[in-house]
Amino acid sequence: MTAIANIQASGLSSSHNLGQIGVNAYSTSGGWTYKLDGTWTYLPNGVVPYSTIGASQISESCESVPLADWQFVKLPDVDVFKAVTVSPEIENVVAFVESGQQQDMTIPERPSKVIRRDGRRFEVLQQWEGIVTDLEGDVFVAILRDLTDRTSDDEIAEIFLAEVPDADHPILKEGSAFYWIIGFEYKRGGQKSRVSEIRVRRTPEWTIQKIERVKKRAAERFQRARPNG
Amino acid sequence: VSQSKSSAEIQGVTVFALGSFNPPIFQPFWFSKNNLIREEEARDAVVTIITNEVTQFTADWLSVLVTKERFTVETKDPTMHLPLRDVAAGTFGVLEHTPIRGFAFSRFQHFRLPSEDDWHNFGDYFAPKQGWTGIFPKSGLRTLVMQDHRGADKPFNYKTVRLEPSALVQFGVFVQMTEHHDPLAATENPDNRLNEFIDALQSSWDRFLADVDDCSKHLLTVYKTAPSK
Repeated sequence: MTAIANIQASGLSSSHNLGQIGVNAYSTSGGWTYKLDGTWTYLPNGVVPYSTIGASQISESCESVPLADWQFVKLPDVDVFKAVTVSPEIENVVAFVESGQQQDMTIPERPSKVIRRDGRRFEVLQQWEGIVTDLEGDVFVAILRDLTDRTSDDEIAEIFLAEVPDADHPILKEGSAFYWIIGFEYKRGGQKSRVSEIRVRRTPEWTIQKIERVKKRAAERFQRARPNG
Repeated sequence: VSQSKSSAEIQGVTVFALGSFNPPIFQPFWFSKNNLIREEEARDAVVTIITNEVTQFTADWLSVLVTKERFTVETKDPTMHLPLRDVAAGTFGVLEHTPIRGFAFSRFQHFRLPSEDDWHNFGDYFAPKQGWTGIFPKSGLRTLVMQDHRGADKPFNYKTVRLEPSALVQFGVFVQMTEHHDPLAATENPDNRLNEFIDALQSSWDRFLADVDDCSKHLLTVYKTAPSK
């Protein structure tokens, strides 16, 4: 297939040094990864000759995508570079900028293979499970259970509603459970950011019939657990 | 929560269930309609295929693959281990009459070792080369799978740990632990197995994740105790 990595870069100008740029190509079997990197210079004609790109291989058996098969092209009028190659073995490419202010972007020709959070590196410092006890205006109050250190006592916290993603606002109400996670996120370029994420816990609606079945099951278990059960 | 302390560069967690499934049901909007994922996540999901035989899609942090015999949900986002559990448990809370025969939890991690020497020492420690020097003058570990003993006191049947050199991280190792809950004999009641599956997700998920972290920590420490050559 033809694999295309679009590399988003902002504010390009002639002879703009893009810094380190890499393209990883993953094989269909997941058995190898091929990496191109080097210092790119944007030329006035918009073409970045591949001869300026260094190549390195991460695993041993990746010679099937030789460096010369990659073409790097600046698209007209937009700050996007295309890295293109053709190989029956390539399933997915991920392009990234290792330094500078450019952002990375991946658009393989077969978008079904994109997993946006692939490779997300996150070091969790603290995690809680919370139950909303009160919701008023732009804040809510919650009881927090420490999932990082289960010996800790529960805590009560007042949290700004703005901390919760908009998509979860409709289901955030008294009694809602949520996960709150704080940690460091590591970007591909090595940038480390402190991140706080709240996600309201989602569970299917309980029907009357289901509640009855669960009650029955609990009663059976209770019966079995009794000494003479 | 065990997911917290890991320094894995890349990782993923998977829940498998074996049984009898109807793949076309498992569409992104089915999950959002049943309050298992956000509507936005369903809307932006990248669908690979939906047929009577197989459904596969990725909705932001969640990957779903369902065939007639196997149900698989996976996340590679280390902050989403608990929501993944909720999706798996919630799915079969809705489809409560699905015949489940067996299930498994699996987690993989790619760790970068401090140096190339460490990388070789790691492989040499777990797969000593003495027995191979007469056949392969220059041999190296490709895959090692260890299985623990079954124990009646354990809530699962057995565990496997797979070690490989990482295909994604330079001088990295790939560690995967899978906890197997064996398929039922044909005569047993699959309804009970479904309840066991949901109970295990609710009661053993954290313990499983912690076990994987403990295992990885042990593996990444113990090889250093080998006498230097």
